[in-house]
Amino acid sequence: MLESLLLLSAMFLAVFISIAAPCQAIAQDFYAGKTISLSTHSTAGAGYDAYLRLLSRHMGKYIAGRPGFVVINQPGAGGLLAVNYAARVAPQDGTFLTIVSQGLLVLEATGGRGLQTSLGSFKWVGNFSQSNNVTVTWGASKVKYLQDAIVRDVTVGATGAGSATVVGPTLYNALLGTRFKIIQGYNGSGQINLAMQRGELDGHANSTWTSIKTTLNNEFRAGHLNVLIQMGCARSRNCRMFRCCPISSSAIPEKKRSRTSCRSPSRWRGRLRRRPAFRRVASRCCAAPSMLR
Amino acid sequence: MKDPEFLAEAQKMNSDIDPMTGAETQNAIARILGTPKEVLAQVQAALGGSLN
Repeated sequence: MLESLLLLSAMFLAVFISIAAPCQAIAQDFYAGKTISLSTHSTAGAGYDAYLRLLSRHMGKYIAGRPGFVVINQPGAGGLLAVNYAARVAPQDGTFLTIVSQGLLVLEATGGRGLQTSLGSFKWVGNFSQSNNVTVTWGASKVKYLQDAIVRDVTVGATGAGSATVVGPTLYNALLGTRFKIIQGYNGSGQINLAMQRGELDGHANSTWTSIKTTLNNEFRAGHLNVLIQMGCARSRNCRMFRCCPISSSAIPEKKRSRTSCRSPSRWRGRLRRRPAFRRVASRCCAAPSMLR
Repeated sequence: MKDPEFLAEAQKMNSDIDPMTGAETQNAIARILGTPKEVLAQVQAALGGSLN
């Protein structure tokens, strides 16, 4: 059951694009002289935005009529504003695509409020990357390891209720006993990163690794980021870089699990011992870094 | 997603490209939205109404 739960948590880590209407047979010259809008819930310069702007520079040559592209930023309500606009307001003729906040899948699956359509009703045209999510703190924070997040409060920024920045730390608090304090109201990951860098927040929870790599690469390379934990269906190829621990049950091969060694402080081990349902997860979180490569 | 210029620019931006096709994505969405009720109940309990 736990494995299924973590799979659900991990499955929405991908970055998706959907088109506002099912593709109909389109005339060869339909897109000639037209502009395709690429919408994102993220702010300019953030991870999703960077992917869309990259796509906008290359996609046109593969579409008959060579349409132009424009990227539209629609931040708000943890991604609900953008996806509801795509469903209810945007043209439904194939000239409007949106990239969907990963947290909204859990929002719909768990019956959360705010979605004005089912995500299953979109025509999904692809996915850029299947990145794991990572929770990071700034170097100056007293919280440098997952263990620290269990013994002291950790402030992390979030946009709105449907966002992964709320879903992730909430699940960690419930499953692992962490003490993430989620501060909502930031308009995007750029604002959250800035707040983290100036000490207003300890960290940024549950952002895609690709987003961190795109927006905070220099800071990461310079050692200014502590990566506490990652969440995903499979171990990240970048594990050797940040030496953090996947909580996904599939992250470490079965044959290696017996060789994991827990090196966490006794207080943390004690807490986890009192949570028998999650003991297996904890042992994997403490796996030797060499096994995570 | 196989365009060499696209991939080169993605690499320059430090953006990973590990794509899924539309059909694969559609299947993943259907799988998530079809999560068994008992699993969803656990997630709902863990989230504690924080998504509302």
